[in-house]
Amino acid sequence: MKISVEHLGKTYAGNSRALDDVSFEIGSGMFGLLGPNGAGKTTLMRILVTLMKPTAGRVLVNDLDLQRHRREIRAMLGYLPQEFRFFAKLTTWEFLDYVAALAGLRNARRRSQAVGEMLEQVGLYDVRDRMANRLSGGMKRRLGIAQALIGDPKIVVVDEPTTGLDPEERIRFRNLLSDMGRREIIIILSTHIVSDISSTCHNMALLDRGRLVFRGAPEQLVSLARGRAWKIRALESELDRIKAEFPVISTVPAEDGWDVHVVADSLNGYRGEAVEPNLEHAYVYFMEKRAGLENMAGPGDGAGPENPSRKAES
Amino acid sequence: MISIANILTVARIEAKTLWRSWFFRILSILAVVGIGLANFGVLSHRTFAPWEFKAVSSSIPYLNILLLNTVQAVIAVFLASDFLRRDRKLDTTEVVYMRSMTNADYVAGKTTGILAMFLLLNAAVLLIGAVFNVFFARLPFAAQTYLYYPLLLSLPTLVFMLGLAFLLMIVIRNQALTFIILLGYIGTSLFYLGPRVHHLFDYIGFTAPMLHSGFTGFADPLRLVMQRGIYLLAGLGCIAATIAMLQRLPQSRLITVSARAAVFVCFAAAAALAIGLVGMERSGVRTRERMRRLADAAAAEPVAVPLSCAIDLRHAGRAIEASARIAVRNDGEDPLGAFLFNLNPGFTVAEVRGSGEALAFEREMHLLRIRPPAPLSSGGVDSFTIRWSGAVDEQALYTDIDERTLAAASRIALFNVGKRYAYIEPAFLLLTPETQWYPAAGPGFAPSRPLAVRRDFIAFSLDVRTVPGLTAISQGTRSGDGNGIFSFRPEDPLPMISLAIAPYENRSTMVDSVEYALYTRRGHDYFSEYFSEIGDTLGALITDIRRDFESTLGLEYPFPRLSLVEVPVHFSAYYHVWSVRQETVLPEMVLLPERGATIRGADFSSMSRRMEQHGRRSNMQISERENQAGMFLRFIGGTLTESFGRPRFDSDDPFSRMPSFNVFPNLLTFRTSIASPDMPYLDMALEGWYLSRIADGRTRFLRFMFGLTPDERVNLRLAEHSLREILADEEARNMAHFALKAKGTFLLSTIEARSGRAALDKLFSRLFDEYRFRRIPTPVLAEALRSETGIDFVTLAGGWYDETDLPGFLISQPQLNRILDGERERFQLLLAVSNPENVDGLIHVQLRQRDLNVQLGRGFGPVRTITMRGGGLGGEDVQRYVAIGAGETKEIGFVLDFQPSSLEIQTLISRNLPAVIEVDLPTEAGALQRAQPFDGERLLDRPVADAGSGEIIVNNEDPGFSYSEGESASLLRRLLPGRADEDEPYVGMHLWQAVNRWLPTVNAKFHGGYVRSARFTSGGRGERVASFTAELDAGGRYDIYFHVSKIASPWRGRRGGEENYGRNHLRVQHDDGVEEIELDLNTAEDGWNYLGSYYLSPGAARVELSNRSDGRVVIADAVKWVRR
Repeated sequence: MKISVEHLGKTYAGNSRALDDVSFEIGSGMFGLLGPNGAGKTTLMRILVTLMKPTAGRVLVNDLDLQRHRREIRAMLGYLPQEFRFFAKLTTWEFLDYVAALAGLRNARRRSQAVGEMLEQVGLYDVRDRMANRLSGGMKRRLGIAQALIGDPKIVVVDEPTTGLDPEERIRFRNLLSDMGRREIIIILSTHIVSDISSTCHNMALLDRGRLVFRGAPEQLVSLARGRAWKIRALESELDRIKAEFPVISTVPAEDGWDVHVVADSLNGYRGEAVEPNLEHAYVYFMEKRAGLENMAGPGDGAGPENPSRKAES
Repeated sequence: MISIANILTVARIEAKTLWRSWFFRILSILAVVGIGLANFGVLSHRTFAPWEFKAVSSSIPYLNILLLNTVQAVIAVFLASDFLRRDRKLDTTEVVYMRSMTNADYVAGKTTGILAMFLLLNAAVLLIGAVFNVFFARLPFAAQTYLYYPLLLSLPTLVFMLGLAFLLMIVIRNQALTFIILLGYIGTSLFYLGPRVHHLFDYIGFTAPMLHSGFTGFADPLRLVMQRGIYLLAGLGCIAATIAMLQRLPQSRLITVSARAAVFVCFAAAAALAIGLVGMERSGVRTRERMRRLADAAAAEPVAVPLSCAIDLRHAGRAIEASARIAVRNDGEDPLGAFLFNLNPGFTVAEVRGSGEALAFEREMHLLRIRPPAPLSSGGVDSFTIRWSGAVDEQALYTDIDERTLAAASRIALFNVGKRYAYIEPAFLLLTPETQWYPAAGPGFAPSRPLAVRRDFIAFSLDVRTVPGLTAISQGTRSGDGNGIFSFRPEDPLPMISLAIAPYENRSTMVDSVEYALYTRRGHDYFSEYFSEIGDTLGALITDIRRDFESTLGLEYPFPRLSLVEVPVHFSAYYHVWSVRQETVLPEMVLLPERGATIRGADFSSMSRRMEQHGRRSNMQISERENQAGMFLRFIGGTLTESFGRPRFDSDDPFSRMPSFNVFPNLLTFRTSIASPDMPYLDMALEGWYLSRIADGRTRFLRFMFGLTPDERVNLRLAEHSLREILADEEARNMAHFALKAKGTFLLSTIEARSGRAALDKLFSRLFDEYRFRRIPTPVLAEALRSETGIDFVTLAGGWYDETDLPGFLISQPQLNRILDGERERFQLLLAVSNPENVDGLIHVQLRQRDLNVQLGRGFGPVRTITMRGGGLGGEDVQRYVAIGAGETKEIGFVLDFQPSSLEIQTLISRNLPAVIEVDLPTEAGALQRAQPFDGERLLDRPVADAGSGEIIVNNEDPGFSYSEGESASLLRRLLPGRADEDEPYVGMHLWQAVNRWLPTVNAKFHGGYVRSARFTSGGRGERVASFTAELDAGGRYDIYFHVSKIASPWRGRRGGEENYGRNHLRVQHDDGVEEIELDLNTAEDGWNYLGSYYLSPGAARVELSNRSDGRVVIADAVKWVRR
């Protein structure tokens, strides 16, 4: 399985550009798509699942053009959208059964078996007769992933799947995805939560304001930040100044002050020790670096990005 | 490509979610329960619902689907507009949209799901109907109609409504707006557009003609399918447009292109159907217009008078092949070069043969001109044979009837039945003279000579070949081989001949050498069981009805047989200008609607029940036999001899009439004719004069519905136009019939007033015997009148035709006293009537001398009929025509043995409104007087005066009357269309309908001179005020009176209880200020009510009446000031 994204662009009405000349390839396995809010991730996802047309470029799925072969490509897809809360008046079982039928499981007996197994797998079998609208947020997400996975799709696209989940649900969800990732299929996970990717994906891309800014393995991104992740022991009085000067990853209370994790090329005189960076450090460092470069390029280039560290959660 | 599996998957889910919607469930349950109750109420023979609902088998599925369809159109709008809104609202929709299916799969699935649920609802409603049909209503079960109605009514409506709602939601993207637009559309099409432009806009099918006859199916299946097809196709077009415009990336280019093409194809086909439908109607209009023009052009051509006509007809499926040997005579003075006939343009004339040789002939629409080899000399006789074949073009009929009347729906209860005038079908054939199925002399109806319709008495014979198993019915002695061959030989020359062929079964009986036969379609006998006991008394009952009718009319039934023939419910007929006869009544034959559908007396099940109940309630022992005899009298007597074309209350045309089945034309119209080219109106005059002896008796209802009766409308017109002008006015054709009848009746009544009825009856009786089945020459009639009554008829009739001025009558309060007439104590009634106008007038005075309340009661069947016949207590009705010359005042006196109970004055043709006045009689006769009894009429010097000396009356017609209408109650009410008749001079008092204006109406109870009128409005909070202002010459103390008329609804039944007339609020202006008076109408008497005595200065004095009242209406009539 292979997806080639070639010079993809999407401009909405009002000339707001959501995607700008994005090109990359995706092979089998889990693929993470990272970027701040508004980076164009959802637009890219919706183009990939044929809900939206690009204004430029194309996408090839196993060399089939997405625009021309919607029937074949839709038959390979499973999709969990970012928002997945409101259902028609159907029970959990009925909803999954409906989607299974549309996914090509025509035979009633086999469909019933597949639906049962899938509900078992996502732990919803006990609530199969409950109206889907009455499931908890986590259960709805699980039903979402179940419907995306039913019918053995070759490509599964999940958009911000863990947003709003409690930690337990989130871990459970990541494990589910990881299990799937072992199959010979493509799973595209779009998120702004760095840890979702670090814990599941072997490949990733980073989108920022509609542009592809990084493509590679998460380790490659991490290696970019090696030697630039620091831990500063700061007093209460220093905290605000540090926050103003460096992108802060985390602030952990310590004895007589705070352990502040920052990313920076140098500490500019602060006392601190280098730490082994993780994907989060790398992501923040990378985005900061881009923001800095753009600011140097000229203040006319928009109002500038928000500090990504403020948005990234841990 | 399109995947059935996907469609079914989407449909399954859509149906499931629809079923889980409480909106759908509740409305469905309400619809099912409501329709179930309606079925029980309407169809069960245990209730007294109108017979119309249960007469025809298809009425059950029709009613149920008709009601459901109206409801489901609304539900479907809501659900369909929810369709995309829900899709947008549900984020889970995206996981469906990205699945591999085409947009067509998705939209078709959604549509199928919704449709399936609605069709299930249809099935449920039909099942209820079927259960009622089988277990409650005694109707044959017409299985196919249970399929036709959902397919023809529901399916197109649903597909159209769903498609339109889908499309609007995609275009407008706002559910509320879509909903409002569609509901507005439903309302508009239901209440306004529906019947217009030949039901073109009636997507619900509420007004489309769809009653399915047990004889012949739908009236016009082609038009019906076209009309419904428009909406099915338009709906499919909208659905295709939805597919093409759905906010989801299409999956198949082919589907998108096909959907666009389908939009085009569907809408084009729908438009083609619509154009075709309108075109068909237009072509009918053009056909009739062309026929009228041709007839006009040929109207002056001399005509060969037919003497005999021997028709040979073969019934061949949907066509006939016929020939007729016709003998003609030239009654004109010049040789005749061509014989002009008319024959329906649907027939093709193959050849015309004279003695051994083919004759030249020309055909132009309905006209057929035959050219004999040599002109036929004056008085000469010729004969020839015409061969023709084909089918009747029904658009070419009734060229004298205005298009509005032709286009009007023929309604039975909620149903638009559909109209048919002629049938040539494999198992049914009906050809009446109007269909021009055989060549008749002359050009047919010509607008320039609207009355010059020929009534030749022709020696007909008819031979018929049809399919074995069918029975043919026509005039004359019937013989046949019992295998589809029949021949008919009428005993006498007839003005017309007709033919009906159907799988009839026959019941007949001979009474007094007349064969009475009933022909009903096999399987349509629902009545025998109700007449099981009276087989042996049938003869006596028939004799009774016949004698009664003959003596009422003073005419005889001249034929040796009378056949009642059942015909499809669609069969329709109209009144021609020139006769009271309709196609429902033919020589020796009456065509009754299928299972008596439009005849109330045909509901024997309910009637027998009612009579049982009536008997129980009044503790009378009425045997089954008596009940059956009563029903027979009511049905046969009522239908054939009593009413004559009841008014249609469901029509907005006040001249519209139900068909008449009265055999009257058999006693007069079919046996003689006196019409001459100079006086073509004489036949109708005679008909009208004789018919006035059969009471109509429905004016009370007419008054409430339409304000004025047809005769009064005619009078209003006659005040400004002569009869000649009215007859020439093509816009007034509906009125012309009534105008001619009224004027004709007036003409002969004028003669009757001078000669007396007995003398005139005797004269006509002699003439009719002498000219039996022949035309009476006008000079013969004129001479007979001159010699026996001394009246110069020609002069009288001449002026009568062209005059415009009308008399008007002022009628005094009657005086009733006891007097001694010799030794006997009797009653003296005196009444003065003035005619201050410049033309002579005529009134008809009728007195009843019995207590109506005791005997006429509100009984049914035998009770009513027997008392009507027996006369009961009291004396005979006394009636008299009184001529009142221009400017004359007459006193009319009656000496009676019994105290009169009612006095009715018909003012005939006059300025009086109402034209018929029920005069209030004193309830107590005055003390015994020793005066000379006076029975007759005498001239008085002093005219009848409205106001006494020292009295000033301000009536609502006077300049002193004014009114304010205030602000309309609510925006909604202002937006709602007002009454269609608000611009009429006087309107009906619809007590059930709120009125926010002061509308004029007439009633004999109101105060007035010629016109007894008042203005009425709905009771309210006092926002509308009527003022009566008098100009007083002298100051002083005045008694003030207010004229009260309590008008009760005529529809209040036995259970009615007390009517609440409310309290009137009046303000009397006087020298010391204003007095507010509350007048309780429930305790007030009709007539002048004393308000009080007040000092008033000279000048304007005013009394105001507001509409503040808890009664339904407030009536502003008149106020009287009487100086002390």
